[in-house]
Amino acid sequence: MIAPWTETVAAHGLPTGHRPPGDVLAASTWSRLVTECRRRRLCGALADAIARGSWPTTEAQRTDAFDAQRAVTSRDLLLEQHLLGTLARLESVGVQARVLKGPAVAHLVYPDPALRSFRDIDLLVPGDQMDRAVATLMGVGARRRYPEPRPGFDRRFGKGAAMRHTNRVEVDLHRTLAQGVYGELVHRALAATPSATFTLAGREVETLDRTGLALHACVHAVLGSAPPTLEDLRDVAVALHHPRIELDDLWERAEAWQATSVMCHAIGAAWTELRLDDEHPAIARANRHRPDRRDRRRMSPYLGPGRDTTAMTLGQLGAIEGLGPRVAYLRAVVLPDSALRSPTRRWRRGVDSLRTRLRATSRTRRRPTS
Amino acid sequence: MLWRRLHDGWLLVAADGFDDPVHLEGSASDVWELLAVPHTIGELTRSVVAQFGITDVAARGAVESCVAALSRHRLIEADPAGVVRDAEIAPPSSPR
Repeated sequence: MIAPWTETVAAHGLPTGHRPPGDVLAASTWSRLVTECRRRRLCGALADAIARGSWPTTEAQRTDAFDAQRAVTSRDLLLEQHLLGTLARLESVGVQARVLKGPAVAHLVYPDPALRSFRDIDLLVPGDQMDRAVATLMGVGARRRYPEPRPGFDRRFGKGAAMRHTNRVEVDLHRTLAQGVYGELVHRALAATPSATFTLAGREVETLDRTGLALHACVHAVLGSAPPTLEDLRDVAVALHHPRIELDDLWERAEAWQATSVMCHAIGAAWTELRLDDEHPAIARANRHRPDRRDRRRMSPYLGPGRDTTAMTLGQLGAIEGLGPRVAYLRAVVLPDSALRSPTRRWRRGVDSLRTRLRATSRTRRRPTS
Repeated sequence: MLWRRLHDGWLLVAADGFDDPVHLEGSASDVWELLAVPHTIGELTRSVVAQFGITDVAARGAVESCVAALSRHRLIEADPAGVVRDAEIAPPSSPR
């Protein structure tokens, strides 16, 4: 259960119906709130609310909140340091990576980067450069968190590869922005998604343009976890309130990504959870959108508490173009390399589940003819 | 250099270093903000005297120890004429 007042912190700085407490919180409630804010990267929002005088605290609580923000922000700076090193290494071998999520959203979408902390580094890498990117990071000691099911899977079908360095910093190399069918659909549109840059230590770092970052926030909120997390919905809300993100552009981009229903779902969830202003044109427009049958079918495996990874896999199979690639994908998922089988419990579960599903489908199809 | 402006000061770290970020608050934070443009130690001292109403000697001591700490972390650099400035990138001229 979420600690009381967390939603109020998540909505800080936005036009919200959540009101800060009228009085100083009791010690136990405060302690739970700070722990939750650390976990949900909301320390910047809490510190900002206190500094602006809109959140009553004792002197000790104020110090506590600022100490927590300093700790998470120190980590952010060390991650940015790591990011610059990683980008330089990738660039030296010809990998053109674009920064996603945390640092990019903090610098280009939030009014102040101190309001948005992050836990890892996410990079978008063109599919044909994935193998080189993975090898480069492994060359400096990083290890994959999950093995590649078969050689070439990252490059052709995977969402990406999660790499963990010896200092525990995680760098996620993304080929696309979601698992399953949406991963495939979005991947086709990503090459045409314009870039923008932000400055880190005097260096221009490439990312998606703000519209792309806003749409990615929506996609990640809905397709990345079920139900969407408060911190992800805060990203959606902050992006939708950014003065330089035009709704027409956002809707057009969502069409190109075939993710309009996903985006509208994210906007609806953000407005509900954060109790945002109902008059905002984004929510009015999102409420008018009715997902068609195909979109409802596509989205269903991602929604609800038990995300159906098997259905996501089958969804992606249906979206892959060409018989050869489909067979290669299915082979990689159902029959991963034998050397990779033992340590990959996660894959094992998925494979077993998929085999069961395929057998059931096959029985269903046979029945009418028998 | 990488930085964040916090409500109680600044967090800074060299872009290519292995140090932990440095937290500047109080007069150290003011000295850092002055370094958005190059200053000599004397100019920094006079600014601190004017802002905090302390003696020249105390201000100079505070400025020198602050500048030494920032140099140690490679966050500022001094040219041969003794003019000090931030190492790579100026902080924003006005806080949020």
